[in-house]
Amino acid sequence: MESTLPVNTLAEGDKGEITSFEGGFFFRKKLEEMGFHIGTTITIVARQWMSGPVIVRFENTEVAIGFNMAKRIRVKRV
Amino acid sequence: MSSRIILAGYPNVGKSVVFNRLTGMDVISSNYPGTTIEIARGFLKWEGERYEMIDLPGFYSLEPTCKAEEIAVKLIREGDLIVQVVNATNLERNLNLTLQLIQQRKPMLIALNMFDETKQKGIDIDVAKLEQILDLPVVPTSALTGEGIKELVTRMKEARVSHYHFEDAQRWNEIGKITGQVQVIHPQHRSYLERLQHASVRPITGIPILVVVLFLMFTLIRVIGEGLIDLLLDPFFEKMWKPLMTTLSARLSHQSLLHDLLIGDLIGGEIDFGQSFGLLTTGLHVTFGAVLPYVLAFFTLLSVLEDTGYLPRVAVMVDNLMHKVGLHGLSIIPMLLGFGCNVPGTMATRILETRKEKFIVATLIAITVPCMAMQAMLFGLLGTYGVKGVGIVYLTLFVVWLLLGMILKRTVRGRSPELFLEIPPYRRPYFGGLMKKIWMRVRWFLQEAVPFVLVGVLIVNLLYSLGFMQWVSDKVSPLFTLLFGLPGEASGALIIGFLRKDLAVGMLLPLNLTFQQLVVASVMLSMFFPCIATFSVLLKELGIKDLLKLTGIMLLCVVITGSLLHVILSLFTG
Repeated sequence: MESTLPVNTLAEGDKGEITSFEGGFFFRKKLEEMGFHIGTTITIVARQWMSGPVIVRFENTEVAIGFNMAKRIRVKRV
Repeated sequence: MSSRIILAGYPNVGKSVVFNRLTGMDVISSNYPGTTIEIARGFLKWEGERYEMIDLPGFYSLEPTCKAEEIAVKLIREGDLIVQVVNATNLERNLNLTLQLIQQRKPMLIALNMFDETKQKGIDIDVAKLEQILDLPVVPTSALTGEGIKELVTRMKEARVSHYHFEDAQRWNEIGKITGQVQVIHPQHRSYLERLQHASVRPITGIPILVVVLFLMFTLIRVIGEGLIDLLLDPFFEKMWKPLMTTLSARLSHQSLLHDLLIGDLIGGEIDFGQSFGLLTTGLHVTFGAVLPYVLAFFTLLSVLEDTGYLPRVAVMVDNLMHKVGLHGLSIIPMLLGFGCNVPGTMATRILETRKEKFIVATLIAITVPCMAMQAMLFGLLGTYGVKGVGIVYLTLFVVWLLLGMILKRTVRGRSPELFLEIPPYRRPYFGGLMKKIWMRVRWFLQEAVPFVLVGVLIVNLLYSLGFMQWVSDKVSPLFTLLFGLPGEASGALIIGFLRKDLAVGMLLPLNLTFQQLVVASVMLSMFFPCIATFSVLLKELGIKDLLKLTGIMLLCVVITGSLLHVILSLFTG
């Protein structure tokens, strides 16, 4: 199996394909409603200092994700 | 054609602007989630018929997990025709909602909005092909310029129940297949606007941008507010209103009750708008001559920031700071609104998810966020001392905000969720919508402020003539002098502050306080009971139990801060 990493460890400009959401039903639902799903390719737009939110882009949408939420989204690099 | 039309769509697709175009009715059109939680209704007139039109709250899913979604689903079931507004620059994500709506088996059509932006972004959409696949009419529109709106109305009679079939579990695969067939994306150079967008969310450039924006905003509020007062309102009140009132004063006998109520006391034989305390003198002057200009300036600038899409970026930039007080970045929005008026600020706590967040934000607003009325008076009271006086007041309030927030974070039970927020692209505000929004907010202020100022003036007069103010001031005098270094009479301002903050500051003026006393009194007045309008909204939003808790915290904070500030300032000024 390929190695995966959490979104919060990616650097600005990195791309990743979502492989799993580590959370319960509501966590998945929240993400899917915003348009994230397994297989979505995201690009890191910016990261805030000191465990701040990560801003990711997919398609033409930009979403700010809190640090602790970003930790629970795993991707493989593309 | 049907009788009830439902307008559905994700947030940030321009749905409210489409609604405005179709109905021409007063609605708030906004960029951040939350303000469209109330449902707007309007009427579409076409070929001599009237159709009811309902603007659904911006929602993400038809499997309801929150109140807004429950309402949306219910309204869709009751509707006769669905118009989905789709953001054409974001087709894949928007089709997720389209497929869910198709499953509702209602006549439907699609407004492919922001179609003009697709060209700039290098997106080619084959509209005819999309129509054919979805088995629904698809009309390209650009609500900002009004393009395509007419065609959207004409084609409503073609709306139909789609025969498109798919497995729900395979939804994302289906969407991928559709976009693969109808959409080609050409790589583009980044536009100037996109560079700015990027710069405003990277900390190294975003934080300086935020500081500059906030500095400009508050400078402009002062410049616009003072400009309006100096050029327009002062001349009006001094040159036109005062002679009129002086004539009226001469007509009424000076000792009569009517004179006391309408004109108030004459200061040195003349009407003084700050101190006379009559309904037609101080009452009108405070609202229209002193506070309204600042409120107008504040809500104009805030609404521009909101409609251009800057506010969500503010939320990202302050997220770290907000985590210190048990909140996340989005809670900056109610707090910013609170600087204009605590009432809409408190109501905006509805955009927050948990009880803990709501309680912390409402408490911090009520105690540490001075509204525009309070601030306008603050500048009037301390402005002559330069930045020093006002600076100490704001700094003290910020320190209390931080310390109180840190305590609440650890003591209030409940969950502090994480920031999860769509960052919309920058947009040129739709002028008509912007004007409507500013007008609604200013009208709101007037509806709240005018009656309370007038009642307040009435009560001040009544309490004085009954000797109540003197009685309270005598009772608390030793305590006030000991703890805060203030004369007992200052207690009157705190009592009236519950009705209106702007009136209360007027009551401090005749006391001839020293600089140090003015600073302490201003801080205490800012923190002490929010005005009665805010108080009633707090009761509605929090319930009686939490409101009593908040009141207890507030009283404790006022006494501690007032006495500490008194001690600290005494050390410095000797």
